[in-house]
Amino acid sequence: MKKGLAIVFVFLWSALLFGIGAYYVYFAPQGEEYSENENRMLHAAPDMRVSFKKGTIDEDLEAYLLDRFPFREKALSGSRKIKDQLSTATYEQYLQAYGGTATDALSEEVSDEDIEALLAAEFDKKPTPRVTNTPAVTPDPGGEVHPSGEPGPVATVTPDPADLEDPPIEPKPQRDASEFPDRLRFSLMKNGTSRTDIRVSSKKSVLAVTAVLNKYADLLPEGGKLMFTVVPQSTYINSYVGIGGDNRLASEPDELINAMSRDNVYAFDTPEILSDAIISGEYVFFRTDMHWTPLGAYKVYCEMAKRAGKVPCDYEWDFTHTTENHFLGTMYRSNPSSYLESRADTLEILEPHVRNEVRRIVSRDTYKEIPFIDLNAKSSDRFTVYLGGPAGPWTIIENDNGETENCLILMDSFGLDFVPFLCMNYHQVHYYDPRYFNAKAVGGNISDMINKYDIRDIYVIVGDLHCFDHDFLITQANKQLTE
Amino acid sequence: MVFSSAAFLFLFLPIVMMLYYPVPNRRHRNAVLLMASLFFYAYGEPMYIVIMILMVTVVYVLALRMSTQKKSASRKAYLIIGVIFSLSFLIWFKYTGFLLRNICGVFGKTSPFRAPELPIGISFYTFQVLTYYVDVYRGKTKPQKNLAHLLLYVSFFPQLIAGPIVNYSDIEASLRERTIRIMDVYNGMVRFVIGLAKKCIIANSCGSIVENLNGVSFSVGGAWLQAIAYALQLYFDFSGYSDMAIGLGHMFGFHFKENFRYPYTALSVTDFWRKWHISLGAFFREYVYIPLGGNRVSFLKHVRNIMVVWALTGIWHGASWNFLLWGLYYGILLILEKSFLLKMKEHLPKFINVLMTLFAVVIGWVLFYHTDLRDAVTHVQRLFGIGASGMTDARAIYEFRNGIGMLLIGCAACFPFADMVPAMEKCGGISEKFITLFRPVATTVLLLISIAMIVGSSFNPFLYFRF
Repeated sequence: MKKGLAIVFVFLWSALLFGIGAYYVYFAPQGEEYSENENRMLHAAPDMRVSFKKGTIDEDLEAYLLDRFPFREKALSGSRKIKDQLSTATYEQYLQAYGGTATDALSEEVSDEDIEALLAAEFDKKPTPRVTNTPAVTPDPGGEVHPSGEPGPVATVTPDPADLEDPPIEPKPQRDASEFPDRLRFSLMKNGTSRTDIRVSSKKSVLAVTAVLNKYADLLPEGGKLMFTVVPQSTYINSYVGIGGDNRLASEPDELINAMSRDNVYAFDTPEILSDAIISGEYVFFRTDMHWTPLGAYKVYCEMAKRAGKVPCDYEWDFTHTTENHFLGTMYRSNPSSYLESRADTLEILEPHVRNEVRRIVSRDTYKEIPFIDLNAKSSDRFTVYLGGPAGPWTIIENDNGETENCLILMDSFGLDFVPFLCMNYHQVHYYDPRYFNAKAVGGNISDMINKYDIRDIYVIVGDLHCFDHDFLITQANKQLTE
Repeated sequence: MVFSSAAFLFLFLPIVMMLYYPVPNRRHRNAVLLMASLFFYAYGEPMYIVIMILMVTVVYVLALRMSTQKKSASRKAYLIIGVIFSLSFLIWFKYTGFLLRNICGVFGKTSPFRAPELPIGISFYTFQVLTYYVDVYRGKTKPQKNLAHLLLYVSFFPQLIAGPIVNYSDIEASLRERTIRIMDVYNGMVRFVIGLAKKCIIANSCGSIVENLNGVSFSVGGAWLQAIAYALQLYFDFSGYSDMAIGLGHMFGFHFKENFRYPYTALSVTDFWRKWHISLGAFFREYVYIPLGGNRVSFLKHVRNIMVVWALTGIWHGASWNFLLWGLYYGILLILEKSFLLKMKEHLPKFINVLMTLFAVVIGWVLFYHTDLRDAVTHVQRLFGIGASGMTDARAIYEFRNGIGMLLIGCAACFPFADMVPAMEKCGGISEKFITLFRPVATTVLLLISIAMIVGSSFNPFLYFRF
């Protein structure tokens, strides 16, 4: 080793460390700042007070330095890439390890205490008088006929006369949780004789989710409704696509939720609603992506809209359809096999024929305008073409459709392609994903937001990975109501 | 403050370098290092710095007084007082709670004593103080007349909180006089970055496998994966820290002895302990084993000496039964090796010996990992299929495949490939120019990756801090 070269590298390494240090001292932002990617407040520069009793300054300073590292995003993505390159695990293996099928094991994030507290608060008390159910709002049968395929401000939709004839909704029958088994199954019923369990959830966790839904429903104004569904994933649904025969998919948790929830809470059995479509091989789930297709979402939306007293929009007429061929989704990205590539999907992107503005809350009263559809989005997950994905603490879509009511969607990524449909029925569609919600950033908890924005109906659209066996609803969504 | 923290890398280290190198005078340089070291320690635990300064000051005075004693008995009395005084802090903070809990447990009661938080690095600096004091008693070294020098020896930040345990005699000369050459700084930086990469890239990745499998994987494969990942995590975590300490020492003109020599290539358990945490082994050999008589006694006494040393080694790592069991486990293995196993193993191929040693070591790490003895026993049973849920499970398969790259890198880095480079150069396998450039370029890449990992990961604990 030559001395000259040693000097060069010693200088280089020192300059790197000094340079970053100097950046912290002179240029790094000092105040708190919200990070949309991570859904948290980035640390502010700590108070440099020395406490002899406890050395708390260490943690604060370290957190600040890591949060405000120059080129932080590049460093984060670099470290992720290195880890990805060194991994041979597939998405299916991840799901088997952490998502699980035919299991009632709770994910490690859900604490027994959270569940017990919810159950004690909701079901150990005297029965709450049920909310009086208001009959479905009869939609105005008038309205314009849509100009076919043309984008533009169409304020109203044409109701299907059949929808208007829906019978008034009866109050739910009173049932006791003890009537249900301890393990609730989502199964394939084969030829009416045998059943294969696809996913099993414990009664406790389903009841805990019910308790959370009840808490949300209690915040709604009179006549407001909460619609809930759990969406299965194509990772395992694809095994049943097109199997034909006298087969049906059905899930039990929805029955228990409907029995134990408020009168204005409705749980929809997505596997059953989509059962015929799946069994007959209709394109309701992607082949290379874990999500449902917009068509799958639409079929469930129609059921929900009717229950909410809305006229379902028209899948063909009310949207501009853009298709992308050779769409390779999340499953392919985790396991880029030639088999999956040969089954590449067609991504259909729906843009509603109503003029709308999409605003994402960045912090308190600061908003960022985002496009409803961003076909040029660089994200490798094309699902994020809708509204840039479920990220961000709170997103508002204001629609010029002549409607006056507002709704909220509590969702994970499965709710994204549900949004275009609701844009036809509500003046404002708000959505949030509990993983990205931040009360500090939006300036209030969920209760505050529901009041502030005059939310009438709530839609809870969650993939089953995030539902009964996860802290998504039981812990996160529950706490965010008031904290 | 830990070496792999942003505060150390981007603020503390550059500031210390900026203050240290321009100072021409050795005395002032020592002052800079002492102030930096005290700040380094106080930064994490301001209150406990008092304990360290008190211990060093009292031992400083006692050593000076002891050296003036003519009578052997009074020197011995000073020795006993000093040793008891130094150990009293360690015993109070580390072992009182454990002892009282077990004594009360025997009588079916709960101990009302709440153990105080353990001062960082107390196990290490107490031993450093002891080496100085006992060496003064033995006449091996002269008592230090300058309190600041003694305080710098104990508190010198590179080795303060996780070793290596440096003998006073090894750096006494450097405290008085040292020259800093650019090549020392360069080599020190390279060594520091290698240690940083070991910690941030390999140890932390293996650590997340261990954590992710804990309490959720109950198969044979899961049990082995967790044990092997922990063995790698522990090695790269601790040897990485030692590399950083040695590198920093070089950068500031001090030369510490090696603490690890590729221990997972050891041919026997005896060999393993010559290669793993060498400074701790040397301490117990020098200050416990040999004073007890070493191996120059009857067989039974030799067995006693070994078991005492290993019981102490175990309990030094933590006040918990699993550490004691782990120490005794090694004591028994070493006795077996000394009795007949080593002779038997002479006839076996080397790789079989390495595998047998690794097998014993990995079992040992399982005992070391689980502070609850029942968990440790259950884990060991699962390694052999007893009480396991099957040969493998979904979580173990995922963690294995997700961490396969890092596990392979970790396994490869356990072998001394880097040491082969000079030999290859001699054979003409690699050109000198390539080596000259490769080392600094590779170091730069490792530094950048390590920084990315630090920024990108919140999983960053140093395991040896708790000892």
